[in-house]
Amino acid sequence: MNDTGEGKVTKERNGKRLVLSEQAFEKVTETLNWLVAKTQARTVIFCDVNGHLVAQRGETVGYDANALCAVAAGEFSATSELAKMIGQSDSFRYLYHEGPESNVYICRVNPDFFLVVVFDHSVALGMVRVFARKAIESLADVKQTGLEAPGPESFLDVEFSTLLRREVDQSLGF
Amino acid sequence: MFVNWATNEVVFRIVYYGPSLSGKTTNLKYIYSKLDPSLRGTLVTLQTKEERTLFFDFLQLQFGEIGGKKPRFHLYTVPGQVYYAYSRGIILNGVDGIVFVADSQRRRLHENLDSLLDLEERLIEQGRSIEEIPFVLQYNKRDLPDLLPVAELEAKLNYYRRPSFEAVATRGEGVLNTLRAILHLVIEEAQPSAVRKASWTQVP
Ligand SMILES: Nc1nc2c(ncn2[C@@H]2O[C@H](COP(=O)(O)OP(=O)(O)OP(=O)(O)O)[C@@H](O)[C@H]2O)c(=O)[nH]1
Ligand SMILES: [Mg+2]
Repeated sequence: MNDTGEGKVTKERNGKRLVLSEQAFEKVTETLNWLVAKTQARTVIFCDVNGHLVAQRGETVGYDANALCAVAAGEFSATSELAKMIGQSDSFRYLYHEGPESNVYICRVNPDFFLVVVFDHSVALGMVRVFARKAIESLADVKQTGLEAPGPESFLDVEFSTLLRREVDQSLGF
Repeated sequence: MFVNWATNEVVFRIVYYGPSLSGKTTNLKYIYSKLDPSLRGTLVTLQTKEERTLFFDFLQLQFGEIGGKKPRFHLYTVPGQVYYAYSRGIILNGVDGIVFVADSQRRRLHENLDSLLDLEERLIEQGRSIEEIPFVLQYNKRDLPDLLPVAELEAKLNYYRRPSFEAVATRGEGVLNTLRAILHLVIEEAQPSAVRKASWTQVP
């Protein structure tokens, strides 16, 4: 962790701003490191239910991790609805997809977050399951807490906005 | 808005809303094709064989690094077809700015109105209101015959008096103007409230 405030995640959901504490963030990255080491998975990603990537460990090249989170979050929401439709009292805890080269295991951590594990056929699904379950147990209490007052003011100042608008205009050819 | 302090990313969520076949996906495809690859990620389109959006389209825009922060815009489109209301709700979750893509054809007026109403309902479900969200309209398909005049579209659809743009998305006309307008409004909204201008509303 460095002194740039690494480890805090702030977000605004439904107009409400939410925060992930620095300790929680550290726990997430530690757990992801552990999970990659234990399973030899290609990649593990910790995402929020709105499809925002929070942290990623393992291989990062070859695909667009942000797009992956967006799609995984969408799929996760859809299957939660599916669970409701067939009268489940709770949503499915995990999703598993087997591909010709890689497999994807997506599991719910808690109502705010889920975990995506991408792994090759050389890795046994059983092992991924076992270690992912342990990871989830240690991450279950990672929650976003409401933050009433200070807005993103301290983060997004007027100068940032002015520069960003200029950058947008240049990039779009205005 | 989502801020990841670990990566210094600031993510804004922009949603293209509107009735089925109004041209939302076409907007995103054009943006993808026009922007330098360094400025955007992969275009994800989750659609049926008939090219109707089934869940959503997704495209990330990334505008370098500004004062150590990395601004990102996540552009989503919703499926316009009526029975995908559930998906629209998911995509709207946490939205920072909305582009309403209307179909300008006279016979599509009711679909546009229904979709606007649906938008307001989805937002209310989430405890939000269209009046507190940066919002622009795009009157698309201006190349087709039997169009409603813009003045009439303004009167019927733009009751919140937000910025609006004519477009022919298949040719890219008006697409970047629309995008620029919503990005500017969203950036402005993220500023400290003291300096924020009341600029959502249209300049007469
Ligand atoms: N003539 C004309 N056709 C357009 C224009 N914009 C889009 N289209 C066509 O309209 C059809 C639907 O466009 P899409 O972009 O897929 O529509 P959509 O809003 O994403 O539709 P859903 O995904 O069902 O909600 C396609 O065949 C487009 O080529 C336009 O400006 N003029
Ligand atoms: Mg579409």
